[in-house]
Amino acid sequence: MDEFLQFLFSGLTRGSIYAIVGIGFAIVYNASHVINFAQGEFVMIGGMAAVAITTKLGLPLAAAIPLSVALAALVGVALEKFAIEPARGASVVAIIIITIGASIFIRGGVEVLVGKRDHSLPAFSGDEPIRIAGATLQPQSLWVVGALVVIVLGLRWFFGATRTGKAMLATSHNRLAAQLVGIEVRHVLLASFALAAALGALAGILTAPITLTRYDIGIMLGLKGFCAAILGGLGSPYGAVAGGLALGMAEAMTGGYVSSGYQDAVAFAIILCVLFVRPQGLFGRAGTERV
Amino acid sequence: MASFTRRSALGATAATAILALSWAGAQAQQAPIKVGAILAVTGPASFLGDPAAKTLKLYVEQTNKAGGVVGRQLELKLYDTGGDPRQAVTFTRRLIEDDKVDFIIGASTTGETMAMIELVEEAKIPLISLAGASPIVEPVKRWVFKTPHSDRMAVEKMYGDMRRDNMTKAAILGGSGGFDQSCRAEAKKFAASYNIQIVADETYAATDTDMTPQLTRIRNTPGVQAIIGCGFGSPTVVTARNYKQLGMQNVRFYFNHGVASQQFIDQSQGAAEGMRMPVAALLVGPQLAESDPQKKVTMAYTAAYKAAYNNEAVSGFGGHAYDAFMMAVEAIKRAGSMDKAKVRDQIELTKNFVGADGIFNMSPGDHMGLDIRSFKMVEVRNGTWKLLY
Amino acid sequence: MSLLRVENLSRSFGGVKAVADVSFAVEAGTVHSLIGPNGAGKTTLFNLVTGVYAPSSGRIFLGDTDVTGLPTAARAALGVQRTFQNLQIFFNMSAVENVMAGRHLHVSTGLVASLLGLPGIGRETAAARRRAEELLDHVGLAEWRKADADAMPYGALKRLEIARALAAEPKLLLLDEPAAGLNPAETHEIDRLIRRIAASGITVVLVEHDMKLVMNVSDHILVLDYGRKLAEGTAAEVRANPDVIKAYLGEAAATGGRGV
Repeated sequence: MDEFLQFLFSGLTRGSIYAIVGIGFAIVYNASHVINFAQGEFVMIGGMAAVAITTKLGLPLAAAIPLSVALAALVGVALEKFAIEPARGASVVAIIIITIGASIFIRGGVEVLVGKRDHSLPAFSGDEPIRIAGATLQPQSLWVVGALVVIVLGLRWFFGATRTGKAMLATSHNRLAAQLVGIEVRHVLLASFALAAALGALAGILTAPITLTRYDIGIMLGLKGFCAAILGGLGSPYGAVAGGLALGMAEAMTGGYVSSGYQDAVAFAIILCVLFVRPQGLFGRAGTERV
Repeated sequence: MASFTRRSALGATAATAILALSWAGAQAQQAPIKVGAILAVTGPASFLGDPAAKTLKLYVEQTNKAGGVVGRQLELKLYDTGGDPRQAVTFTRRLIEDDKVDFIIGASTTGETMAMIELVEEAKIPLISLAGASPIVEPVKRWVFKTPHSDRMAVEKMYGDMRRDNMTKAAILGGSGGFDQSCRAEAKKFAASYNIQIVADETYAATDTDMTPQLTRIRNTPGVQAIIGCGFGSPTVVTARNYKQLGMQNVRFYFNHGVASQQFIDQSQGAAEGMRMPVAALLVGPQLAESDPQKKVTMAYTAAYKAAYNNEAVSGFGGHAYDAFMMAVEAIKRAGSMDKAKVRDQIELTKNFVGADGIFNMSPGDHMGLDIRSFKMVEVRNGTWKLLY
Repeated sequence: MSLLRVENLSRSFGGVKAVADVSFAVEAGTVHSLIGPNGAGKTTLFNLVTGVYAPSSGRIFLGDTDVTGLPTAARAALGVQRTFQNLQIFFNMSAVENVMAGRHLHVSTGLVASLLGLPGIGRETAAARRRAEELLDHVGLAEWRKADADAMPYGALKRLEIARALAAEPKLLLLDEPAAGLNPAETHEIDRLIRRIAASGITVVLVEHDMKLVMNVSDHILVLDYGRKLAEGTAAEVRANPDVIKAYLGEAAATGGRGV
């Protein structure tokens, strides 16, 4: 039983990270119908910036976190303004390729600036493991899961009660109608990218004390976040949360009970399953159009 | 008038020719020996390549100051592969065809070295590798040598230590990379001869960031007494942290010599305490007995390295580079010239060469030249290495 | 000054001139109709006026403001609203929420106010909801107040879109085939709704094929054919114009059913 609990903790922790990254995919997709494959790089920027700010500038973690998140948001806005917006008329596939190119560019930039080695952030509240019923949990894991809860609640409030959030929601459902009621879709796009980048960066900062961070950590995390978003149904941020947690659990349980070598394969197997069997994911809208 | 002109013309031509030839000869004499180096200075294997690069730069400079080798200066041509075998191949080609080096030291990792072997064998140029896995020199390739201890020796040292404490049940935990696989294969092969039973065998991917499932399975394996860590690179830090998180210190953890760096200890943030590793003598130079034949070399290297690089801690990996370079230099001196074939022969004839990481005895059948005695067993205590024996 | 003025407006798609050198003006407070055979360019003209397409040449004025380069949302802010032939409804929302979305331009609380939880938000949202419910009643959808948009029938959805457009408090309302697909009784309701809207001071331009509705409701009619202006004038003038009869009314009369 304690073995199961240990795998559960492992799955919850990594699943929460995948969930937060996945929300970013969902938000950008909603606003633009683009899958932004540079989302993983925002995760990387968050962690790396926090490391740089704490070690090179000597600022405390409490200051580094908002600064890193703001920096990532800026990069997100720049990505939208300079790479996506100019290609507005292009096909979806072309824009996706642009985002892949952007991700390579960002990764290369960081590699040149900072190098390729691993960096670590100190755990937010120490690293003495917490024992619960025979299994152990790092305190940092509690921060990760806690952050996910706060983010989900925050999003509910944002989309439900604020004008900007409601505008984003409307745009995601009918862009033309949204423009008609006076919503500036360009602003919605910029806000979406900024929000997705901020969330990605937050995930990167939360996970760096556990997994270390380096210039290419965005590749795998981005892919797993994408898997989470697809599993949940590409239009739904809450679906991405469900998808991320499900993916994290599946990985941990596969690693624990089946074979540790197959863990990574789980994400890809899930993506293939979803695409073949239920492309709209768990909570997405089925692709029917009203004629 | 005509004969005078003809004679002086002849004389002038002769003089010019002699001058030209001797100038050319002098140039040939002055032409530096080109030392090629393929190292993973940056990237996930930077803890291997960075100290190696620093070591080579330092000792090339020192050798040049002392007059060079066989009257020639040395010129170092270093390429950074970032740990990528494809880069290693590209840069090796460049060293051979464009830079026309005389011998090559490198690469830092097994995967990269294996990719380079065909090129150096074809170009007939001596290669001294700084990577660990046995397949590099088994079977023996004519032009390929290596200085680091092999993973087989590391495994045997770890098993030997287990036997000393009457431990018989071990679990293997490693990644999917070339070095990890090789280490794992050796661990499985030699377990029986040391009376050790492998009770669990867990893998992770190089990009994994959470090994608690694997470690939990090991912990729950009945009777497990030790873990043989066939890991390499950043996952080893995560492994250490997870090991501490799960409170598994009652199961002894052995890591292979590829993990033995100060960076590993620092990044593990205390989780490496109590871990044991087979390491080269260089790492514990100050703790060696005065009578130890390696004491002088290790202390001299340590002093020179620290002085040149801001008191940075020495690592076995810099030591491998030192051994490779110095062995090559000695071989060139014995050969009397930088004839590639002659130098190769002399490297193969190296006997009782006292290096920083071991005492080498090469032969046509053994292009590594180390035995298990060149390993010391250490334990991590208080954030540094404690020599056990 | 006219509320809407269009000067030499053209729009080509590849080699096809969908709208060719069209000029007209719409006076405030009138009901103006745009008719013509299928493919005459009527919806394209609407798209040009609302900023969905950019013109190949020509200018568009709202009052004395040149809006030719402005995007849709900016024109909405200047008081232009429209409905669509193919229903651009927010199907994920309820009927009330769709209409409340139309209040976007008139709801001012932004992120900061929401963050601070100022009492303004609650009040504003409640006010928007009340107004939305009023509008639903006004267009005859009182029974659908609590419904989800994806549960409503076609005819109701057409009126929902009108309600949403009205929620934005437009000066100019463009209706793209409001009676398409409706039975005679429903068409009669739309007729009365359009008159109510015009009576409230909103200028209406409509594209329609139902000639009875057009002749009943319009102060001014513009006839398009192959992207060009064929004729314009009052209902009586247009009815009598031989070119119009030949190009459009004649065919319509020949096929029976919807004729004058």
